[in-house]
Amino acid sequence: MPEHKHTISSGFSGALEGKDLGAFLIWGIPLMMVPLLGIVVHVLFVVIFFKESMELQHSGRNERSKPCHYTAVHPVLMVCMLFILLPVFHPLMMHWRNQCGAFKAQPHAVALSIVFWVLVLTVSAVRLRGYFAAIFAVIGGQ
Amino acid sequence: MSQWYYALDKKQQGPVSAAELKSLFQQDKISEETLVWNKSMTDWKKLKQVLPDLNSAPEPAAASGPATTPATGAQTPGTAQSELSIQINLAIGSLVSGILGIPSCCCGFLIPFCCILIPLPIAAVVLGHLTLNRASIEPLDDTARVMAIIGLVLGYGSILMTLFTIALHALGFGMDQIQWEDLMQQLQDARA
Repeated sequence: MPEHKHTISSGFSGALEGKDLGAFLIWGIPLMMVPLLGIVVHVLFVVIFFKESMELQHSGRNERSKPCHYTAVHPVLMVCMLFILLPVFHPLMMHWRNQCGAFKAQPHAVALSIVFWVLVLTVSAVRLRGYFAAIFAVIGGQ
Repeated sequence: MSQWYYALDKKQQGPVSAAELKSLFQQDKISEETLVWNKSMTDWKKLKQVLPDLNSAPEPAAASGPATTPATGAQTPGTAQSELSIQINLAIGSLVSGILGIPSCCCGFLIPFCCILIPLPIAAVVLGHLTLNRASIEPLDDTARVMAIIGLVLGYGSILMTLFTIALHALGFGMDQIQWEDLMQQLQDARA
């Protein structure tokens, strides 16, 4: 039997040409802590998730792809949810990305994503501690 | 040898042999999720269920059953994806609304910022219930169910807390004009 180029877990090969950006989607999160660069990385993440999902959706129209969560999200909703709540939905998107089998699997993607986002949010909270202190002082009647 | 039928573009194709079916899979003309049927089966099944070892080409086991072809429109991959899409989008809407609606709890204290967020917890509750009601149409996706439940909890929690803080505000515990100006001043100091 001739060697089959696809495996069951990666039956989308060929549908998505180009470089796999899974590693950047994980290891790029710490870059969010860099002022100004964080905004750029944020936008890049949204664009990458959106682009991958659209390409996968396109490849699924001829029934070559199995139904998966990664392509189930409406494009407008995806952009909104990722722009507004990226720390919440990034781990979920990475989980769905691994689950759909169309991309190179990123081991421990969800765990790493959660750890990195906790780190990024903690650093951001420390930076903005002056604002929080002012709000709590006024609410507390200081 | 069993003669197989398969669903492609929501139409029945075939008959083909098991070997031809595997060949079609290897040529990417069908996927492991493609619905297939032969005369020994009672209903259509996914290719991976009847031919679990697609790369080693075993002959599929035949089961006894009626010899009539069932309708292909029952649950094709396209409709499955469509239903999943509806459930996921409703659930995400509920979760997003629930999370963004949390600050509305403070509307008794910070009226200008938070009162405009009051519709969000209501939206979270509505979308959450719409998601869970999809279970009467199709089995609910686990992820959608979890997201809808979280959205519902956040939505109902925010509504209750909003009512509580509004009541506090009505009783005179809210932020007055002087406190509001004080907050603005402190925020400006923090920025400086």
